[in-house]
Amino acid sequence: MLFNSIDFAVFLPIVFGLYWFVFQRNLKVQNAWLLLASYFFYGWWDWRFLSLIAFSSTIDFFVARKLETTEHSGKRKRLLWTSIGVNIGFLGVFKYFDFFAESFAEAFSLFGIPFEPGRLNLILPVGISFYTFQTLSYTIDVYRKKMAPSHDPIAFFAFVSFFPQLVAGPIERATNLLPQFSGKRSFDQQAATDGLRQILWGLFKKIAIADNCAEFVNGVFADPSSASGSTLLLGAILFGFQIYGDFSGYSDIAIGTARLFGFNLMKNFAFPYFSRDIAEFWRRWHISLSTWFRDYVYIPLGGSRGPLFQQIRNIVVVFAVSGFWHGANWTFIAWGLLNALFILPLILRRKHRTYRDTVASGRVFPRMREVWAMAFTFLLTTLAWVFFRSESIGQAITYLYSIVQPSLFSVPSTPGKVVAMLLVFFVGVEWLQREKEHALCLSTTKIPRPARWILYYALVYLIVYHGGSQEAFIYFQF
Amino acid sequence: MKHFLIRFGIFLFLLFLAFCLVDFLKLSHRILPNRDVYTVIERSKATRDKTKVLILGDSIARQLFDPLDQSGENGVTNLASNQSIDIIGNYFLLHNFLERNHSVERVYLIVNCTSFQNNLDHLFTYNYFLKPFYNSEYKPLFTPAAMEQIKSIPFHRFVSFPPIHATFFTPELNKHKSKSKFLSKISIEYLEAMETVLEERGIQFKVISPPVSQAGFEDAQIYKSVYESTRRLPHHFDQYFESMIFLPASWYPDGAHFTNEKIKEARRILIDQLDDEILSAAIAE
Repeated sequence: MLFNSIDFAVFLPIVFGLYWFVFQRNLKVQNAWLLLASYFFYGWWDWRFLSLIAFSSTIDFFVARKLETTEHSGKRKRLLWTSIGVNIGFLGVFKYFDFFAESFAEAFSLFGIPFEPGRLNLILPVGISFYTFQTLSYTIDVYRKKMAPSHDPIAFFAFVSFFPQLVAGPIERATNLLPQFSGKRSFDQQAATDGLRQILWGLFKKIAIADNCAEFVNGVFADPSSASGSTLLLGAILFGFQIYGDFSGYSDIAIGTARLFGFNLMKNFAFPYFSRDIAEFWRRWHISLSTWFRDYVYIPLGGSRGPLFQQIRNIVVVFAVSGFWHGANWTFIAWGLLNALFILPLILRRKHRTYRDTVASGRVFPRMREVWAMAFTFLLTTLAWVFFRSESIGQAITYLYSIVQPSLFSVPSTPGKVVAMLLVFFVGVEWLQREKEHALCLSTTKIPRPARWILYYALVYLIVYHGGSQEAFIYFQF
Repeated sequence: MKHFLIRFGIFLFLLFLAFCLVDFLKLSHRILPNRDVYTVIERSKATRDKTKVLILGDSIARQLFDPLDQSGENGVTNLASNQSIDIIGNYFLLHNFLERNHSVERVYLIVNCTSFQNNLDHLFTYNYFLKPFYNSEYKPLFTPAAMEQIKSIPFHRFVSFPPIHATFFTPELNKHKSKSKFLSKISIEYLEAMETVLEERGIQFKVISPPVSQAGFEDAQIYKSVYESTRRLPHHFDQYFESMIFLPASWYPDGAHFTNEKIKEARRILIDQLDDEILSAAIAE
């Protein structure tokens, strides 16, 4: 069920009510209730895929238990590879099989060899890319002896399937989330209230920003040949807002919802479009995925150590795989490689940690060079987003080429005044709140309750009466 | 927990009151995307006793004929709004108008082929049809088939509930989509109802297609062959496909509606084909 649906609006209070009023006294029962609710939530999409998540959870639970009692390094490796094989295997079959089949067929046809592989045409289970990575991080951390395996199957299954973050992240680390299932949870009014604020802001980002941008973006990308260069540029820029609003909005709703139940999920976005270089952008965008790849792919490959060739290889591999994680299309790989190209000079020159603080920290207005830096970084990400959004690499290249035509200086088509005002409001709020945990993190001492409530009602008004047509969350397709 | 629930409860209650007020004052009728439907409903209840030609239809018809609507003073009233009100919604508008106006001589129902497939199972049925029309005023006009279809729509009972009625909330209808072929059961019922009520009053009735993009030529032939294999409503449809006009695809940025530059020309082409003196006079003005 979608977060912005009546189904979820009915589901959440029921789960919340029973969680805190009926099952609070017994931790095991409380976890069991969360597990049941999470499986119900996931089964609402398609009950057939419950078996996949249950199987994946079962394998990883027993692999981790076995790792605890096995010291033989060969056996430990085999256990680890069992977990990796099952989880990556699921991804490979459901997500990538047809892509590889088609790619092989195209490659063979280049040599004039007819090759017609069978296609599976399987429906992609929602969230598979997220929960497989989440359980993989668990078995890898147990293998590395970073954490002890769970002896509580209910807690573990609930950790894997925890409904707020099940279908689109954040991809939680077991070291952070699993202990929270093992410890008693008390209701924290401040956390819950702030969680509601975060949910509200997430809904605003998704419905008022992302869905409105989507209407314009879909029109432009559907027929780019008939749009001017300026319209194409605006389309690419608004796609950047669309995907940010969509994905970070979902993350905000997930994190806010988890806080209602006494859980703290990791931050997934830290105002990435205020980044001053591409390295900072990747420290602020989809943090759970980028840190996952850093810890489980980049560092094991050697990271930024070793000869130059190896460093370059590691960066290229990580970004290519990261792109590929997003979807079975060469465009996602191209998107990843383009980002690798952007970040490589910074890493090789050891300038990728220049910006560790927040831009214009403690000030309202940025300096001019900060503005240029942010604008340039935004431009680079926008360039890469064209590949992410396009159906093919050819379409992306044609799109970009069509931007840099004389029509770039013509007046573009626009999504309208209302959307423009929403975007200005959105960027303004995010800018003013960029040093906070989330954009609607309000000081209850500095801002009186009536003023806060007026802002909340204003956001509800904007969501309800100026939201775009309902679009699926983009990251559900990953 | 108690304080949290109390405060949140007060917040929600005040929000509920706000929705009730918006619904009572009909403010949402001016803001939400389905406002065009409320506009034509209001128009259908107006007294326009100079009206001789009444236009019903979808958003393409609205695009073409709204500029001709001069409150009926030029003999033309346009009640075309949106495909999502289905043929049944057009019947209700016709019913409203004929109750108050007795000078109508001709009615044109101008709809795209796809309108006839709708069986109150469209993605926008909840907002464009149920919210404006599913109330005590129109319930006597629902056929058993229409009521049965409505009852299969999730949350249909709550459509008048202020937080739903005053917003653009809609349940997911994809799972409930019926598989209607061209000419759904409800479309047939209400086309026949239109024919009956207009025949009783001696009013001429024509069902025509708006000018269609050349790119849609093949789709139109498919619909035509489906229709010919079922042969329902020959009275209305013999001319529907034969008189279909195809215009260059470049005139249609979204495949269905016209560019601003081509609306006038498309309207003139359609009216020339209809050979209707009142419509011709209206565009001459």
